[in-house]
Amino acid sequence: MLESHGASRILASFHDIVPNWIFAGLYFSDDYLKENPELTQKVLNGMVKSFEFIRTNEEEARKFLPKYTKVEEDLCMIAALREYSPIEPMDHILTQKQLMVDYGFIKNEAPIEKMIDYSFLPQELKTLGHSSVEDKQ
Amino acid sequence: MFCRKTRKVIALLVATLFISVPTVVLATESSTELPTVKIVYWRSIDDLPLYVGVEKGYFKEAGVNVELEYIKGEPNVLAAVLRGDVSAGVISLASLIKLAEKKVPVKVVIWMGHAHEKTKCGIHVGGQTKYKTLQDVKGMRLATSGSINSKTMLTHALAKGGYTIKDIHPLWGGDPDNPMQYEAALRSGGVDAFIV
Repeated sequence: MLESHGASRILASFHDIVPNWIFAGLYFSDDYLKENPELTQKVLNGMVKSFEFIRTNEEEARKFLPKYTKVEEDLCMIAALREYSPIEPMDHILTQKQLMVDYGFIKNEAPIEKMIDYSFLPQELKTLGHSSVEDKQ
Repeated sequence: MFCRKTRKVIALLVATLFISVPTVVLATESSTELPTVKIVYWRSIDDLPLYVGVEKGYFKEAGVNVELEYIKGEPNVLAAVLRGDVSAGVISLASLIKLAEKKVPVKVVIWMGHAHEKTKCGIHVGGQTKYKTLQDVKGMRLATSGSINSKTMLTHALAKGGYTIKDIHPLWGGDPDNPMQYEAALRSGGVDAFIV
């Protein structure tokens, strides 16, 4: 958005620096997941449909942005969106973790695999990527 | 005149009618009302799947009413999730790794996006500055939040250009709330670059 105003130039994007840099995930507490597995599945069913809608109807999806972000519509229509994938490859996750370890920002022993649970996703998605579901079992 | 037995039957029917009507209404209401899940959002473009799910009715189709609630800052969101004030939130991979170190009882159940060739998030330099590539950033004044994500990204970018964090002037905590504040800072010359 800054670029569109001429205020800035991009020196290097996240993707230039670390390809497919994973930004964030949606999380629940363990207690909530234990008590509400079906509700969680329903949320994720809706999310997966949203991902597909964004992929196939990006322009229409962008029109929802001003209402929630308060960003001007013309900027919402050109701002770069993330690519959404319900499951990220475990090797990408571990690569990012390793960079954080190498630069001394986190400890090596953090068991990131145990912080991810794909078991609430629609069945057909669980086979994508390197699901930690299989890893944990 | 009704006999005693008939009066009892009528009384029972009337009582049943008065008691059963509201019960039916409640049963009808509970079958049409969807359970609510509160999810924290950050008024960010990156939360688009949540907005689409609400606006297109995908959550309701799936059988759940999703309410989006704004809470600023990952620690505040985490506290709300753990207290049960809200059901879910969004967390960076770096913060998730930190939570793993502390064995905090949460799980990411779906990812919320990754960078790609058209990604514009990254290191932005002021339009009029001299900085052109990662190989000529020595002395650059760069403002960033100081999160692990930002520090990792910055350190790795500098390494690609042959530098370390000591070769630039990082301004930790430089994380304005909106694009206009970034723009003002860049145009004023107070900083040369941001991670946005």
